[in-house]
Amino acid sequence: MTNISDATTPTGVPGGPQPVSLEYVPQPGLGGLAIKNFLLTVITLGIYSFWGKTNVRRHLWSCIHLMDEPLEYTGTGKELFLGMLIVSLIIVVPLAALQFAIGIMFPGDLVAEAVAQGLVLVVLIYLIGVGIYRARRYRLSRTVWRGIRGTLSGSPWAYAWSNFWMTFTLPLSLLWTYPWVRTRLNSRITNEMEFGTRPFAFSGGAGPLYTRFAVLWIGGIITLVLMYVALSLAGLGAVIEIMLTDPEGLEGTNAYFLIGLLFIVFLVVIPFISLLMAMFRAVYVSGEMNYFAACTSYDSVQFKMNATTGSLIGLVVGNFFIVLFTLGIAMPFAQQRLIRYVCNRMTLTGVLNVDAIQQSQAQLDRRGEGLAEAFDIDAF
Amino acid sequence: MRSEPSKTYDGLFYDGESAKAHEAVVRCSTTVIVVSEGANVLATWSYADLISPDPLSAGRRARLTHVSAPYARLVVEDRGFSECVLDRAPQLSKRAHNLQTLKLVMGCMAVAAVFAGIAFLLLTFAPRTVASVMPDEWRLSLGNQVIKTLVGKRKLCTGPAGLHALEAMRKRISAHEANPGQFQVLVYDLAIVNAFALPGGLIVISGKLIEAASGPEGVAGVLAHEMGHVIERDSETQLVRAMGISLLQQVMLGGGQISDSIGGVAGLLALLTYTREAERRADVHAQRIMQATGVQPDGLIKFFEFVKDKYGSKSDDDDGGSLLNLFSTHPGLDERIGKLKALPKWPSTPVINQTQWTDLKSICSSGTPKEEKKSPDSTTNG
Repeated sequence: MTNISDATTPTGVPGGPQPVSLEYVPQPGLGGLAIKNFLLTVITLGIYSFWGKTNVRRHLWSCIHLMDEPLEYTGTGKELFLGMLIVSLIIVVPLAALQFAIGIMFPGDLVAEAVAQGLVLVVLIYLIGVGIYRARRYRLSRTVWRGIRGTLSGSPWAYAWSNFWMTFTLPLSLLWTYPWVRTRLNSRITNEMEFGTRPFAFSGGAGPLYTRFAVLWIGGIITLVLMYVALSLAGLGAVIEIMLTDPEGLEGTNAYFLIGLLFIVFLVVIPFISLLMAMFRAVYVSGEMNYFAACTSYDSVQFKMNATTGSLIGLVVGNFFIVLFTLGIAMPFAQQRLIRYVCNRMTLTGVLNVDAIQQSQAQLDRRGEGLAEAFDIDAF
Repeated sequence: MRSEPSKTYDGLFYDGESAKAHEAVVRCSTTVIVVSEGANVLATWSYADLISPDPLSAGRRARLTHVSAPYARLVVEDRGFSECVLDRAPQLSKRAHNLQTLKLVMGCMAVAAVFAGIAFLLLTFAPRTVASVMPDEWRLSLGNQVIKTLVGKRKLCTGPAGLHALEAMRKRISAHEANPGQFQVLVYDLAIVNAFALPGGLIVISGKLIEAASGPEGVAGVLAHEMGHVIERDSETQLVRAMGISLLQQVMLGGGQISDSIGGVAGLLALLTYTREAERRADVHAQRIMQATGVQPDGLIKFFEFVKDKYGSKSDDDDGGSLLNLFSTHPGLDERIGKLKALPKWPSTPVINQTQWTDLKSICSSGTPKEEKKSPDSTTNG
């Protein structure tokens, strides 16, 4: 009730700019949705999953309130299903068939196999870019707020090409182009984002990301070394196996010591190293989230994000266990946590001349996200 | 009707053209919803084409749109409004929504069944067609690849006199076939009594099988049976089917891992057991070949009886389980022996002479290690 009066008050001043706000307003029903989706997906051999995913998105979108008015997700399960079907038919099947054909024509020929695999890999790297762009465009065009939808104005193929060649700079630079690649691609896609007829803007270079990236890079080397040492310790497992299969070589106390060591390595040391790696990643990712938000604006609205290393680790580790322990059934809750995290830590400052936002004239994609689905690009 | 036709409610209206919120008065009449702002009528919506993204519950906030203006949104908080709309637009109710979901689930199940049906038909009928149109070179290189996986480090038997005798036997029993050159017979020093037909007309016999046979007719009978599999393209069919299953798995898993190669397929040989039908057809071929070339079935009968005594009449898996086992698969040995015994006698001559038989039996005990490395296709077949 208050929502309406809040939102309607400013309309008394037509064309007047209004302050912006972003809020996550939880609603009941996600648990029921998760269980229903799981059961129906099982009895339809997976086909219902596209509709289930759509229902979850509709729920989560409607919890995001922008200036007291909820977002609305208008995509359909049918669009996702057809998208997947078409990608299977025109991309997955031909690529797989190509590999089989080469397998039949040149069986055991390692060079031919390597050439074929390399070719497929190159095509896939290119298509991943197309998939990322098209998925983003689909979701924007299915996100409606106050009756207005978004879009991406650029070409997926051009974006995919940038993504493609930039990917190859990563191994050549020992990953040091990573912040630059991320910034360039994010800049490009954000600058092509539109809500209604108005564009988002991204301005900023990769420079400020390099301090945190150095932490990630050096941290990465350290964890790799630690992991190597831990796995070498675990290599002692081989010794144990010999002792176990050759009972005469089994000297009781020693074997127990080694088995204990193996348990410690796998249950304590390796999870600890993984956590360490997650921490180094979180240092970078939280910085990147904050920086990218700070570079982004829409009209005269400025984005600001307050992600911290600790809270991000909590989010990621929590989500990992939520998905793991429920075998994926509770996936919607992990998605909810992520969206809530962003909404709660994102502030929008400035005023928005809402009445001046006109409907997007961009053509709608008829199908959704087949490629992104095929490559498992993100969690939604 | 719980509400009077002319009752009005306050609401918010977005026209789908701009993000501007219109403070609207909504009238719930008998046939249409009229949305107006002051004297302006913003929309006139029929009940039948109303859409509610979420099911509408009586007494809750209503959020509606209409087929004629899919981006327009009407939001009304007043509880009376949703009741009024539900009375006239039952398609928006929770009940209708559930019915919709039920229909959808049935549809999904039907689609799943159709997919499963197509996959079944494709895997049942397509592999034989593909196998029959596959060029000979492909078949041969497939066969060579399978041999590599199958025999591992086992020795190819190359005793020169033995090879000569083997070639004489092959020529004799393939003499009446349409394309006798397609059969290549190789003897490997395998640890088991076995024989199998592979793609490209390759037939592999174990040295142990020759040792176990009481005479050349037994070996010739086995050979004739394997030639039956070659003629029917049974092994090619099974390989294509295995590839198809693997392809289908990739497609269903979304193409995440497109990395299977022939090496992996060769590993699938464990699945390569012929169906009962295929074995029967090969047996029919064997009878026909023996009859046409004047080879007695007695040797084969004796051989089957020997196998039965030694290994029992097992039906499925045994210690040689990972290989295509001539004797472990159906139909049962008793049935096969019975069928052979029931055949009328036909005029016959020895398939090879006694000297050649002696040579053949020693095929694995001579030959130099160098010859062992020879590629399978260069050893036999004149």
